[in-house]
Amino acid sequence: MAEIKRIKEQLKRAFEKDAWHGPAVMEVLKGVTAQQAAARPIPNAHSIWEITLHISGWAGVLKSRVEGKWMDEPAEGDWPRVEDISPAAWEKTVKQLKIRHAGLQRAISKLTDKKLDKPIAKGKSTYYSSLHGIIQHDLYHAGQMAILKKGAQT
Amino acid sequence: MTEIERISEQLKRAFEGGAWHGPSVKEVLEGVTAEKAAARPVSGAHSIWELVLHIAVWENAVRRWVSGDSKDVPDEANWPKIKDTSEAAWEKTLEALEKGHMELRQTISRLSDGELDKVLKHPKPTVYDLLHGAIQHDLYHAGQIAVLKKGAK
Repeated sequence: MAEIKRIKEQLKRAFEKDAWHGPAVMEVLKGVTAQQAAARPIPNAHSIWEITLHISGWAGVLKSRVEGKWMDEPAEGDWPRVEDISPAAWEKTVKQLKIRHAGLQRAISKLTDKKLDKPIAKGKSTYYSSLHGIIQHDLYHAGQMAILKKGAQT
Repeated sequence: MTEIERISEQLKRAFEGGAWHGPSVKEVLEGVTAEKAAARPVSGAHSIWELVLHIAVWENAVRRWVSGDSKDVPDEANWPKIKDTSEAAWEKTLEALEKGHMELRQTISRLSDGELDKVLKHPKPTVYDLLHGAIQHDLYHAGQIAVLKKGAK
């Protein structure tokens, strides 16, 4: 199987469902309310809401990098502040996360396997490390959100 | 680069450092004492110690499965119980994690790209899914360890 096809499948599973390791991002976020998302069960750790904005921002960064436009970090910053904690704002945050992932998937579709060992920009990580990196980034933070969800529910 | 070489490198970075996403398993475990490892800052969630044992269980299972063994991980082995919470026992847990991880990497280095799409008898994924799955499993729990470490302070 072509590696780009495999990567797309891995990203889809890590984000939606059927990942081998366990819960995907959207599976962890299922049932999380705005109140739980804004909660800080571990005082000096990020909230689910902050983490969602963070992984959303990085999906956007990677899309841009894949399309040849280098970005150091998300336009809105690495860890954007949460101002409005209403249910409507939370819905918007989750919707944006989904849109960013769909955009990233489309950008990856245009790549070919030949690019994988090449740097994504001069002196930077390869396409391969960047693409598997964003999948791993999603899941590193999904694990955190699963713990925070437990903490916010008790 | 072969795909097996790329996967080996990803696994090494996820475990040791230099991963694209951020902290590796060993990086998040830095400075974690036996006391912090045994703490339970979020009730209902596992401790760092339990997560480390669990990561090791699955790295060993993946090593066995890609080597042709089809024995499942029984439920009681998925989350091993901790009886001794001494510093010496914590050292031993970390050593076992490292040893199992190095064995997994050695096993992977003997595979070839032609085997990646092979569907394993057990537990059904392809070799490719299983290997990237092991890396992702390491990091899913590394993220949790990082949060628990903050909570255990």
